[in-house]
Amino acid sequence: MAAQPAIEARQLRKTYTTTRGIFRRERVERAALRGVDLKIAPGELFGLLGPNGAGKTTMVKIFTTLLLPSSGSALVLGLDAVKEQWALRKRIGFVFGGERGLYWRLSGIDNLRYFADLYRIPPDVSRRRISELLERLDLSGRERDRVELYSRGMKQRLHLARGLLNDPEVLFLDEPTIGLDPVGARELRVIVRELADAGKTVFLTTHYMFEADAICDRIAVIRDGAIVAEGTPSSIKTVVRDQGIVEFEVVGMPVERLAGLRRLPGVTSVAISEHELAQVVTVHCARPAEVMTQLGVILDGINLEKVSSREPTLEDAYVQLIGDSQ
Amino acid sequence: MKRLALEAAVFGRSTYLQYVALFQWANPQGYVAYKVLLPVTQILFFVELGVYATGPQNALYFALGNALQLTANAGIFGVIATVANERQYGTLPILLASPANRMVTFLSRAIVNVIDGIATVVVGLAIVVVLFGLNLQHANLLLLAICVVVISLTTAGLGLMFGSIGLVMRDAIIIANIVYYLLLIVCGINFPVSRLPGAVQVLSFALPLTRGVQAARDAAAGASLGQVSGLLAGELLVGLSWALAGYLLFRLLENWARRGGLQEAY
Ligand SMILES: Nc1ncnc2c1ncn2[C@@H]1O[C@H](COP(=O)(O)OP(=O)(O)O)[C@@H](O)[C@H]1O
Ligand SMILES: [Mg+2]
Repeated sequence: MAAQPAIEARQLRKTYTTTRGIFRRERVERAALRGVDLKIAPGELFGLLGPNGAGKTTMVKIFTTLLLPSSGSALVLGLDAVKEQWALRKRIGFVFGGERGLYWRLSGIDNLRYFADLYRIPPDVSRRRISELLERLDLSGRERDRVELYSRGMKQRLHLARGLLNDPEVLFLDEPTIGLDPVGARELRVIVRELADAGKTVFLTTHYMFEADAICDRIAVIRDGAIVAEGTPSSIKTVVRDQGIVEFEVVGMPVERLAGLRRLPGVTSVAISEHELAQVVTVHCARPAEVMTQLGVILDGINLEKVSSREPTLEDAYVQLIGDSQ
Repeated sequence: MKRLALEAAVFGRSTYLQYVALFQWANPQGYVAYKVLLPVTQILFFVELGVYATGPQNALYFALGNALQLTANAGIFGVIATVANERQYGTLPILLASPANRMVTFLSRAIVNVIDGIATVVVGLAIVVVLFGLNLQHANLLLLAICVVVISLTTAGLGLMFGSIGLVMRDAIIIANIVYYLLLIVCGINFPVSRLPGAVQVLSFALPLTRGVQAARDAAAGASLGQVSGLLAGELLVGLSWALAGYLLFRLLENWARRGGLQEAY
């Protein structure tokens, strides 16, 4: 890793205090981040993966200077997000998921002009950059329409254009594909990957593991305010390295027959799911090959179809890492 | 110098965009109806009331006062609407996470409403001329115009205070309504300030409009700038104080939001 990380969290903690009740006011504390350590190298596309409420947005808000941590430090480009917010704000961009954050009655181009003004971008630079971004994010031709007439995907691309107006060195994207249709989400992922390939550091949060797997160089899995795994998508899969999977389909098999499978050495779970007329049986186990040889013995006389064994996927790792909290 | 020109250009565009975002009515008739009906209704109502209570010789007093007070409509409700818009659209976090100059941004939120306020008073005065035969032949028209600009600025200054309150309170509009009617009572619009109890007079002079409306009444009667300059300076000072208080509150809320207090902001 380079001398200075683009993004760094040291023992980052955030506890929200809210009050509840009108007459007997009661203070409620809620820990959203419980001592997070992270280092992200310049140019990296980093994915923070975790379920709803894990603390992803809280972390993005701290890095983008919107929120102060309760303790610990957050550094972006070597600047302290707490104390050096003015210098930092000029050099980063951010996009929060969802449709909010645009002036719906203004045209797309007027939105961009207004937000460019907030960054005091000189007029000649902003004019050129806005037209480049409109082109790049496939909005040209529609830039004079009011935002309320835009599709969900166009709005999200406009958000991204807005986040890129100041040509930021680091870009924070908080669940950028939320609410997009699969095609729109894929288009957005392609653009994000291109931005990282062009040298920008990207910090992306998502609760879709396939999204993280598809585009991120490195991933951290966050659960309940703590990082539970960190590494490349393939290294995270090693969490479940000894969890092979054997899957097959049967029709009308008595459930008791599965008991024998469960007793096999190395088998951690046997799940059954209905799939149209058939039942799909999924066996998680240490040594898939061994289970395969025993299948015929234990399920003697039952017609097994589509028997397969596979290596663990990132989804399996994710489910295992997150699973206990659900 | 170049930096100043850039700030001015930014201020101008921000104002224009705020205007479009706020005032792009679905149909222009709606805007005109709002801009004409509201003044006519308010002026007629208070003139009728005043004439009923004090006699027909005072009709012009009420008509002129209410026409001038209309600035408060743009100044207070307009500014609150601007902030409410920001909340509704969820654009506040973008503003707060940007390096934008807070003072320029804050003030640009009101400038549209100052212009709107001036337009409203012009309509109001025209109505008074047409319906009540206000005679402006001896009026110091230039001074009257200056007074109108000044009270549009000062009521927007008060409005900025409510704009900030609106960041935390969804119900700021209710307080603003109360204040709007308070202005009608204590600022020499429908009652001469000198007839109010002493304690209320303190309030009168702490609020915008009181001195400005007096100056405008004098200008309509032909006073010179020298005669009302004290009133106008006081009026500006009061408006500036409210705007400054609103700005300080805004900065306070910004810091509070950063500590996780102002969830509304996001
Ligand atoms: N302003 C707030 N006040 C109190 N609790 C909050 C606030 N924002 C978030 N939380 C809580 O903190 C936890 C983490 O939230 P968040 O960072 O939004 O998670 P994520 O983005 O991963 O869904 C959640 O339990 C959430 O309820
Ligand atoms: Mg979130």
